[in-house]
Amino acid sequence: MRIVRSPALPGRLVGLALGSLNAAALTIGLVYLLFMGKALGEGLSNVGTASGLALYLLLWVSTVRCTRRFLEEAGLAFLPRRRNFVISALASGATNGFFFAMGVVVVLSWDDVLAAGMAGLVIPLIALMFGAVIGPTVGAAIGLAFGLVDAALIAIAKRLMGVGPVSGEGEPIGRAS
Amino acid sequence: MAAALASFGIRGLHVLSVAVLASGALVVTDLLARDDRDADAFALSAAAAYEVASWIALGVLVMTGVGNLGAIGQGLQWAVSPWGVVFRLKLGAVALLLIVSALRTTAIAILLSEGEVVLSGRRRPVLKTLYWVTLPLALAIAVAGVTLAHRP
Repeated sequence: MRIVRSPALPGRLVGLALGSLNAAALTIGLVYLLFMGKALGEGLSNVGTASGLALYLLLWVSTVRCTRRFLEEAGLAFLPRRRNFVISALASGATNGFFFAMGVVVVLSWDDVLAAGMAGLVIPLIALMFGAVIGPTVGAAIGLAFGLVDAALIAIAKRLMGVGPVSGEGEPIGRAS
Repeated sequence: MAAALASFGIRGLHVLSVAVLASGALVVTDLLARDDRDADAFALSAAAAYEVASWIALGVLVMTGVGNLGAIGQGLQWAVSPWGVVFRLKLGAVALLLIVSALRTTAIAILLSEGEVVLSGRRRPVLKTLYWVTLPLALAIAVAGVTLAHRP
């Protein structure tokens, strides 16, 4: 029996899955490290509930979009490969890091800016400049690490489904070999 | 009052997300267990829908989980306390569920990319196992969550 669906659905599913996994794994790892260092309670108290939820939503959406782009460019999402694996992972991670750093500064300084007006913009603007450098640098390193994890998970899933190793040379994955 | 409502809402979403994860996995496991080739297309459609719902639920689970911790704030106990041990076990179960879910979703995406619904050979038992493993992991997370919420 043949089923008719959007050709983009498999790639979107994998992008949603691995992007959500990356965002959640990063958060859980950070929570674990802070908890073991006895700094979790104080850290979360400083962020606040609404800001924390907004930051996670931002990280989640941004990571899913960047992961989907990485998977498409690296030929891991049912499309021909368009860029080198390492360059795709670094670029997607850097983009994600940039947007998340900007989001962190905006969300955490929002109340101060509203309260202090123009005078309250000085520190956030300086933080944005630092974030524009630090965010992409850290993001690129994390992006490369998670890119390797994503590729490994796809390879394992392919083996489980009996379709051979990960294609790195432009062949769409999922075709029975 | 607003803080109490927000806390209640976050806890409610946390429980709801685990309920979606567990009940959906149960339904898809049952569909795959029927070993009926005529029903494979329906089972795959249901599995694809569940995958989208499960990742939204997992994201909400992590997001509201951190929100719940924030509500405790400075009152968080040490890692070596019984509460801390249960908390670390819960984090481990969530991490394991994330990995199993990623494998499950990618496996379904591979089948969708092929267009053919051929759950022959080892594909059906492998998929059944992946969905079945999801169920106890979701239940373990729920039990750990209830324990953490009621332990002083």
